[in-house]
This record gives sequence, structure tokens and C-alpha cells, in this order.
Amino acid sequence: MAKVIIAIHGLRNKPPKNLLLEWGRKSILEGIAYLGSEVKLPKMELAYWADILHGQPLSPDEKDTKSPYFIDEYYVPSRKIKKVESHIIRQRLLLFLKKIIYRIFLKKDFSLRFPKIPKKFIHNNFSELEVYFNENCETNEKACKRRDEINSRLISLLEKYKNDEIFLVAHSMGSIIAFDVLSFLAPDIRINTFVTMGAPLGAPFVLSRIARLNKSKLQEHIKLQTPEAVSKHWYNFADIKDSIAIDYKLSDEFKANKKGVKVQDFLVLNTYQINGKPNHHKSFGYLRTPEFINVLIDFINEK
Amino acid sequence: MKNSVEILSPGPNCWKTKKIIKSIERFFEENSIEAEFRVINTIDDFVKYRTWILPTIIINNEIVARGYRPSNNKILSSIKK
Repeated sequence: MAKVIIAIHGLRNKPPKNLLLEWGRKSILEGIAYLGSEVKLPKMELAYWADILHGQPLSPDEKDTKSPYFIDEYYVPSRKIKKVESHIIRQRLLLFLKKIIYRIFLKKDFSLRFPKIPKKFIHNNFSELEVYFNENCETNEKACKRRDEINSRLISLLEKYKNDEIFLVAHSMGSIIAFDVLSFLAPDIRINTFVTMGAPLGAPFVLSRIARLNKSKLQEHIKLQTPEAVSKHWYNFADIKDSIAIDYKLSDEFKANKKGVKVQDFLVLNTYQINGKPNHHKSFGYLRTPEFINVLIDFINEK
Repeated sequence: MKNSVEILSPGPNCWKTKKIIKSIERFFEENSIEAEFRVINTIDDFVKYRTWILPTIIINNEIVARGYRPSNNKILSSIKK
């Protein structure tokens, strides 16, 4: 069986598909070289959906820094890959905050206590999420069509490689899309390894939505779990300073699926920075972390 | 035939390492599998296995899991019969 890496990107407009894929590939190769491994990367595909919401991609030729098509965060190799520091106090503080936030915003059945607050937060900060989370298709048919189109980009890639061993890497909002697709839209497709990085899956409004979809689909008690489509591993990588992946420990919320696959959380150090400014959420930084490279090499070497 | 179980670990006091060893030992006992356990925490071995995820569980020189307890099926497929 052939092996394939399928990636799905996150929020905001992106460079053209081929360039983004190339930069992702370079990041992975950089991580592999750092570990001194000589594995050959299998075929890599990208579920690209930025064009559905933004039309025109960011342009590498755009020099005007104020232009909406200017690329301010392109791929740059890391100066140094360092071992992740433990940040024990920060870790405990985040887990404590998570408990408080869940207590304030989530009821026991995972429904939201104050639905207007996250709605306003999403509206003000994440227009893509607002389109994707729209559930009222009668009043906003356009948003629903766009959401279906985004999902179908990933589904068609997964269908194309359904006879191969798939390593699915989802970054940021891509992890919400991937989770939806694997759990509710194409649960029959088999994924060998599911990787989420910088994933906001633990945010109350995301958890609440997953629980609601789960309930309507199964018509039974709510259970947050690894999608049944994942057959061997689900790894979740988060940088403790990543402001999107505030809940770095998804294993607290998501149980194992019927095959016993449970999410394994790992704290990593995302070393991405551009012009001296770090971005602990950037996909290129996650893709070269030694921890991610470790699990990718395991997948490539698996017989 | 004695199996070799090596655990690459940050140190002998790591609670996760202890928990994984205890669980695998119990599984081996229940299934009458002989094994020798060794906790490794030297940089040279981390470099040898190129691992950044600890603890890493190696059974008979094969990496079976990184950062978690491998499933019973995975263990069984790696042991010497």
C-alpha cells in the first residue's frame, strides 16, 4: 500500500496552493535533516480552501506591505531547533484556566451557557470560522455552500487516496474541518495517523459544536471521542505559547474510539519567527518540530 | 525466550515511565511473557534512536510507541514467541 501525506491549512488567506505546499514540504525536510534521518518523503497533497473564502491568494510578487495580498509570514528556515522547555507553571495555569472557562461557558451536556459571547467573539475575530460555523442555512445559504465546498475539498482528497495509508496533518482551523470530515461526513475512510497542530479543538464553542453534531448524528448520549476513521494514531502538538491552541491537552476531553485510538498530546517548541518576531502558531514552525518529525518517520518506516 | 524492553525516559523518577512499565509488566505477567526491562536516560541513546518524544518504548530493538503505553496488540506483535 502506498503512503501519502495529506495536509489541510488553517485560518486567514494563504499564498497560492503550490507555494504553500512547497513551503510545508521544505519545513518537514528541514526537520528531517535536523534529526539526521534519510527517509524519503512520500507523496504530499494539500487540501487548499483559502480561495473559497478569499478569492485571490496572497502574492509573492506583492511588495506593498499594506496590500491585503502581501505575504508577511513566508517560509524561513529556523536558526536553531531547541528542546521544548517545560513551562510547568504556565501549563498548570492554563489547565486551571481551562477548568474555569469550561465551568463558566459549558453546561454538563457541553451546550453553551452564554451562546452570544462566543458568537460575538468569532464574529469580531475570525470571519472564516463564522462562515464555517453558520448553521442557519435558510437565512445564510451562501455560508453553508462555502462550508460544504471547504469540506468537499478534503473529502475528495481522502477519497482519492482511500486505498493508501493516509497521514493527515491538520493545522489550526484545518483541525476543526478535518475532525468534522472524519467524524461526521466521511467516517468510512480510513486514516492511519491523524495529526493536529495548533488546534483549537478544546475551545468551548468548538467542543459545544462537536457535541451537538455528535448528538444529532447518533441520537444518543454525547461522547467526545477520536473519530472512528482514525485507525492507528491521533497526535496533537501544541506550543505552550500558541494563543490559538490554549487547550494543549485534548486527551482530557476526547476519549478513545472503538479501536482504542486515543489522542496523544505533546508540547513542542514552535521556533518560527520572521524579522525577529516569533509566531508560535505558524504551521511551518510546527512542521519542523522534532516531535512531529519523529511520528512522521515512524509512519514512513512502518511496514 | 527473553524479550528486551527498553524505555527511553527523562529519568528514573518520571511518573509516566513508571506507570507505563508497571502496566506492561502486569500484561507480561498475565500472559507469561519473559522480559527484561531497562530504563535508559543517556543522551547517546536518545541520539541513537533519534527520539524527541519521551518516554519511548522499544521492544526487541523496535520502537513501538512514543510518549504513551503501546496497545496490547502492538506489544504482542513485537515480542518473541
